[in-house]
Amino acid sequence: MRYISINGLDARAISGKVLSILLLAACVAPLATLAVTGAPDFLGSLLPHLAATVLPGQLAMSLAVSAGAVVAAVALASGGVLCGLFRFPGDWLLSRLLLLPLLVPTWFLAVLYQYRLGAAGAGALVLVLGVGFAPLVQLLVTAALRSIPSRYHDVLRNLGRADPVSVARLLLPLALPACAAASVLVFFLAWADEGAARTLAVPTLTVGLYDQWFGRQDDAQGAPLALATMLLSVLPAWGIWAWLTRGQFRGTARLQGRSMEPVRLRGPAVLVPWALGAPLLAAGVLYPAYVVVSWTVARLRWVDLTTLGLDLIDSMIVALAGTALAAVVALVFLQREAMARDRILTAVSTRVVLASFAIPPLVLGLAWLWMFPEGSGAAWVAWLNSTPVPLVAALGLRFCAVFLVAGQSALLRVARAHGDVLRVVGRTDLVSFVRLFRPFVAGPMSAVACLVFLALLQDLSVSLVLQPFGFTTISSRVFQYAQTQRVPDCAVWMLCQAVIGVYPLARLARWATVAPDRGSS
Amino acid sequence: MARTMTTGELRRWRTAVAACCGVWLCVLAPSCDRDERPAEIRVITDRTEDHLAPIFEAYTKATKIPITAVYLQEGLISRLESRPTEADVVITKDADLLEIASSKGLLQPLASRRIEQVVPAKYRSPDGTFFSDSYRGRVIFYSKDRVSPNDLRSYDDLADPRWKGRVCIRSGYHDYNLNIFGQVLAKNGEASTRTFLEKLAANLARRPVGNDRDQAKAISEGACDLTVANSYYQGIMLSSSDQRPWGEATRVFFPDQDGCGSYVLLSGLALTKATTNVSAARELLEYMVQDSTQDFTTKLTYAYPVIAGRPMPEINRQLGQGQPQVHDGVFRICEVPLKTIAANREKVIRILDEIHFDQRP
Repeated sequence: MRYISINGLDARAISGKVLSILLLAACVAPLATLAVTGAPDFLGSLLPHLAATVLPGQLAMSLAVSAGAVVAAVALASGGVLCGLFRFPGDWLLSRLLLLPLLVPTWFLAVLYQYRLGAAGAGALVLVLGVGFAPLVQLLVTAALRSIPSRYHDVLRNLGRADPVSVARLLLPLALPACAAASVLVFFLAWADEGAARTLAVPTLTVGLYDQWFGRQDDAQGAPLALATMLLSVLPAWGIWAWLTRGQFRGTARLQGRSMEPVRLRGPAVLVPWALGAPLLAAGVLYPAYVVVSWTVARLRWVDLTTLGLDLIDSMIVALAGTALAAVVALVFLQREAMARDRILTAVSTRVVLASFAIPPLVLGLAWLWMFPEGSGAAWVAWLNSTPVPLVAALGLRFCAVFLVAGQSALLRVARAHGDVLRVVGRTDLVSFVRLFRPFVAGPMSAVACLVFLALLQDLSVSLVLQPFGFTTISSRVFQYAQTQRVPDCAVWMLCQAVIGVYPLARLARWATVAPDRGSS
Repeated sequence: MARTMTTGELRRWRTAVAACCGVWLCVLAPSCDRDERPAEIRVITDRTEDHLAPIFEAYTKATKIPITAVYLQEGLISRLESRPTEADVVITKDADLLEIASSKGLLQPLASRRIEQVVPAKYRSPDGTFFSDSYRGRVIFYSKDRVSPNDLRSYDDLADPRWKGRVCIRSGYHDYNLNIFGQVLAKNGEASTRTFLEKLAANLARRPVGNDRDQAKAISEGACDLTVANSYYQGIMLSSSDQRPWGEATRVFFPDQDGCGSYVLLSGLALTKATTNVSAARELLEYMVQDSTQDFTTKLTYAYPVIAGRPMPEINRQLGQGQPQVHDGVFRICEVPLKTIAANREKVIRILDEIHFDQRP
């Protein structure tokens, strides 16, 4: 590779800056589109009308449901968290089983419970979201617990207080930052949820947006509402992120030396994790598995394998390309941050990608729909819209935040000297960054890649808005069936989606349960 | 300062370029060949694939012209506005959406003598930009065991206090309900419609949840006795092994047969303004109103054909049994101009917001 350095200006560094600015522009574009489209009528007649009628109730409902989902997810995850803290018969199996709800999107759980049990209302929604997101809490808290140095346990043992209760009392508070981070993640996923809330007829903000927007069938009326939704989502997200990234929340206890080994449970105590995990096991794994498998067996012979195969390919394209895009964009931003270059650019990009993640996906999908209007007559716009590129880009840039935050967290473990060395020898390009920092960030980033892959595989809102012609993801197909009361007919599709997710989920489980000193990072 | 690329770097760059090419082939190439198939017809629709795909397959088999469709569940007009050039034909389950699209200048005149000859004028838009190929009644479904058809007369009965806690309905904001509430508003005026909706909301047995068939299911389970649903669901439920109990527990009542008639929902078909594939697209629309297609559609969907004299499925003939004004399933229709219905959407939504319809009871 040839590159030129004139008066200390490294061409690759400049190109890196240009690249990061371009990617930042791509992240800002949908937000700017929403602002530009919604601003002219922002204070027109619609928002005051909604503020006087349904908006306060929808806001309160969204907050209540999101908070309820956090409480439910943390409570349901307690069994899985104990798997990371203790050794007991079947701990490996229980910890994996409790992650299985991640294989099924929350909106499908809602469809299933509504169809089979007639579930509806805020209580049912909180339960469904809690079941769907509890594995995230388990993953993050378990990973944090495995990062705790063994010296804590050594002290307890020397004091003769290495019983499970003392261990839990000592170690659980150390995992609180991870629990707080998981809670925030669950809160925003619940806040942005649309499919489950709509299925269970809960009037949240996103459902209200859907009703108003598509009821009127008028972009001009919907745009101010989308802008308001964006502001209501982004501002709290920035606030919470700022709070989380204050000193005491920048990670769990730093690992120095050997990590702690789980403590063995004895006697009746071995039943406690199983008892705590039982509700999640029943509601999120056994019942859905029983229903989906029985429907699949009953309908297997009528399945159109060609359609199923094509849907699988479409879903994989979205999930793989979206994950790759999110990872690359995050790496570019991380490189700028690690090299301590462009601090303003770094700060802005972090906030922008967080904003993209906090916005409900339905709003984001519509922003991307508006971003490339064909009214200008440009042929490339029409061509672009006929490809899955807008769909992949919208999803990829949305989930870039997850990579970025995970990468930032991983980089905190790395001494500043690493970045200094790169700067001194003039190797501040992305390739050198990746080569040097890969051992430190590979573990968390590959775990996040698995998580993002699963999320993209299950996306519904953005796919429904942006799907190109002749392109149907598994989620879209299942939703079509569900809309026409043919939920049992979509069981094969849902089972396939779950099977595809098994390998990434296994990788995730391994990342969370292998201690950092024994794992890649 | 300069240096040459090492073998290792060269290999990595090659790998990266190959990966990019791979992504391009996977992501972009599938859509690149469309320009090489000028005869392809591209359809954008909010109707279900189950109903349209068999018709498209039959058309392709007959003409060798492939049809590519995107089945949108939501945001049809938004999509048409943002991407006006991506489709040749638009097919909707509610023709009032096409009225909105037409008012936004997204459609072009059909200019088809065949359609003008076959489709009655009342099922064609006055400006000639769209037409309907079928319709269905938005009627009252009642519990066969707990309600007598003699207890019912009109839609106003749904708001009668004697049915308090005995009515179920899907979300008021759904297109189907916005459409008939818009028709109620056209017929009775805004104040009367507000009162009707308030009383209807007060009669609800539960918060609006699920789709039309969920309401029939609720009736079969005893959760309520009356609902408003599309007439074709009776046929669909009775022909499905899973849903037969819901259909058997309910009966269809055509309201207002002594007055204006029952409200209907019209499906709609149109050519997009931006299509350059006018001839082939028009042929597809003409195919949709051929006798054989009409019969096929009616048999498949249990909707009513717009062409007079076409046979109806036996299940449709039995709808409205016990109503002296309904013979062989043929009922009086209240004709409300689509332009009026479309114009009333905004007013209806505001009323629904103000009375918190979806948050009741």
